[in-house]
Amino acid sequence: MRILVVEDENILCQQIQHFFADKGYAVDVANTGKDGLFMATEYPIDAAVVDIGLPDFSGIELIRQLRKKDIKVPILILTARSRWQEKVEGLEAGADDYLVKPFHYEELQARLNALIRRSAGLAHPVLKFGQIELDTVAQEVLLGNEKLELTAYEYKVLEYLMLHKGEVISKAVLTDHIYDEDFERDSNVIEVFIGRLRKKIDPDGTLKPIETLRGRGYRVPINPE
Amino acid sequence: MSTALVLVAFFAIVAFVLERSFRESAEQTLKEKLQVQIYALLSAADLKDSGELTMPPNLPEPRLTNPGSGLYGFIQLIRKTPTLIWHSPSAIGLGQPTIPPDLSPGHSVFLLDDQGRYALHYNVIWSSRRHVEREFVFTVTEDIEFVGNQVQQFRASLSLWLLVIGFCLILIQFLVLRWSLKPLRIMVKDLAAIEKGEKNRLDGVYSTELQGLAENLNTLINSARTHLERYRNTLADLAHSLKTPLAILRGCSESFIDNKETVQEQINRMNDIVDYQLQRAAAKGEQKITGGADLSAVITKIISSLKKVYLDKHIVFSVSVPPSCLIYCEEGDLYEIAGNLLDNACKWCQGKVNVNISLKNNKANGDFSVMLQIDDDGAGIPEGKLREILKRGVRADENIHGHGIGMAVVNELVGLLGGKLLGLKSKVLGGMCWRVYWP
Repeated sequence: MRILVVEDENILCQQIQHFFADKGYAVDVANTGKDGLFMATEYPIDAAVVDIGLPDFSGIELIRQLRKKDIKVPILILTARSRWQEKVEGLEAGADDYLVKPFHYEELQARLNALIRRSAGLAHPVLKFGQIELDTVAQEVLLGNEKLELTAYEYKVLEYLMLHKGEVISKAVLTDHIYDEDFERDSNVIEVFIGRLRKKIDPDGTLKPIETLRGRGYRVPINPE
Repeated sequence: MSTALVLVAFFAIVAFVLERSFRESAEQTLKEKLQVQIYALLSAADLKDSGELTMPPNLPEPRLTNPGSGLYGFIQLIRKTPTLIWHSPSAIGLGQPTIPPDLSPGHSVFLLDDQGRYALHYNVIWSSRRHVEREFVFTVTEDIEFVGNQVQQFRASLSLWLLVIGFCLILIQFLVLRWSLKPLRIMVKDLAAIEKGEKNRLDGVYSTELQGLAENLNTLINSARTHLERYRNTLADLAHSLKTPLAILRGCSESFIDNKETVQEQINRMNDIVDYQLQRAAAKGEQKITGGADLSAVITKIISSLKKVYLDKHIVFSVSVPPSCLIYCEEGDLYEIAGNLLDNACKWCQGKVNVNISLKNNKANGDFSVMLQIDDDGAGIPEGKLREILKRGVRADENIHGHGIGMAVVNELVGLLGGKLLGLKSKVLGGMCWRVYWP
C-alpha cells in the first residue's frame, strides 16, 4: 500500500513515515498543503493521512481541493483540536475518519487499513481466496489453518492484489503502490516476489491464486477455479 | 414612590399655610364686620345732658336683638372700675366682657377673649352738651364658631381639591415618567435580546441622551466578546502546540524498553488533562453573546459524520427531530454535548441508535422546554458506575476510560446551560439511554 502523509511537524512526519515503512507500506511525505496537493494528484496513493494545521492552508482546505479534483482516496485527518465541531467540519469536507493527537500508531494503522479496505469495497477485514485467508488487521496470511511466513513486501504484493480481485494489475502499478517515489523502477524485484509468493501460498500449484497475463500484469481471480 | 411621598409632604405644608392664611383673612373680615357694628351702636347711642347714655329699643342689626344669636353688644362706663351700662338683648345671661388694660381712648382692640368669643373693644370719651365727659367702652363680640365654621368648610373644600390635584399630578407624573423612560425600556429590551443571543449589539433608535450610553455599552460588549474570543483562541493554540509534541513523545516512547509504560501513562495523563481543561475552558456555558444554535442541524451533521467513522458497524440510526430546534447557547457547546453522547452510543451499540428531540415540557423533570434522548442497544452502564460518572468532572485523570472526559464535559456543559443530564437503561433498545433537558 502506498500512503501519503501530510504533516508540517518534521519529527512527527518522520515517525509516521518510519512506522509505516517498517510495516511494509510505501510512504510519501509532504510538509505543506501545496506539496500534499501535488503528491496526492500525481502519485497513485491508496490513502492519505492529513494534519489539519498546515502552514500554507488548512488540511480541511486540502481535502476540499482533492475532492474537487475527484480524487477519491480515503483520507484520515489528524487533529490536535478535539472539539466536535472541528471533527465534523473535517468529515464534512470529505475526510473519511479522524484521529486526535497524540495517537497510538497501532490505532492509526488499524484505522488506515480499514479505510483502504472499505475503499476497495470490502466490508470484512479478512480477505479470502479458497483456503488462503489474508487478515488486514493482524497482517497475517493463513493457508488452511497454517500461518504463512511472508516478508513485508511479499505481504504487500499479495494484499494489494487481493484488495483488487479480478483486476489486472500491471507491474508498474504494483511497483507504484508497493514502493515510494525513490524506488528504482527498472528492477525485476516484483517478478521475484510473485514467484516466491506462489511457492508459499500455493505450494502444490493447484489453487493458482495469482495469474500472469503476459505483457499486461498480474491478477487474483474473483473465485478459485 | 419617593416622588409621591414628596408630593404628599408638599401638599400637607400647602394645606397648613393656606388654612392659616384663610383663618387670618376670616378674622380680619370679622374685625371689619364688628367695627361696622361698633359704628352702628355709636350712632344709635344718645348721651343725655346728665351724662346718661341711652340706647334705642330697636337696634339696626336684628341679630343683636335675638338672644343666643352669636352677635352681642356691650357698653361699659369707665370709672374706677368698668360698669356695664348696656348690653344687647341677644347678650342676656352673658357675663361682662373683660376690657384689655392697654385700651386707651380713641383706640380699639380686637382679640379672642377667655370666653371663646372674638371681641372688638372701642374706647370713646363722649361729652354732653353740658360738657359732662364720660368714658365708655363699646364692645361687640361674635362666637368663635363664626370663624371656625368658615375654616372648617374651607378645610374640607381645600382637602378635596388638593386630593384631586394630587391625584392628577401623580397620574401626569406617571405618564410623563413612562413616556420619558420609554427609550430606557427599549434599551433594557435590547439588552435582554443580546443576553438571549437574538441580537449582537444595541442597534435601536434611542434618544440623544442615551446614544452615548448605547455606544459605550456596545463597546463594552464588543470588548468582552473580543476578550473571550482571544482567550479561547489562546487556549486552542496552547492545546494545539502541546498536542504535536505529545504525539512525538508517544512516538519516541515506542522505542523505550524500560520506561515505556510509565512514559505512555504520563503522556496519556497529560493528554487527558489538556483535553479536559481545554474543553472546559472553551465551553461557554451560560454566556449567550453570539446567538442560539440549531440542535436539529447539529445532530444531523454529527450523525452524517459518524456514519462515515462507524461505517463498518452498519449502525441503523432512527432519528426523530423537528426541522429546527433553537437552543440559546454556543454552537460549539451543542456539538460537544451531542457529539460525545452520539459517539459513545455508536461506540458501545450493537447496531442500533435512536435519537429523539422532544419539545414538550416534562413535568416530572421540572420546567424544561427541549429534551434530547439518545438510546443504544449496547450493554449499558451499571447504575453504580453511572452515578460515579455523573458526579465526576473535577479531575480528568480520575475518569473511567471510554466514558471519561466526554461525559464529564457533557455533564458540566449541560449544568452550565441550566439543564440536566440523566442516564438510565433504555426501555426502547435495552442499552444506555441518555437524556439532556434544556430549560
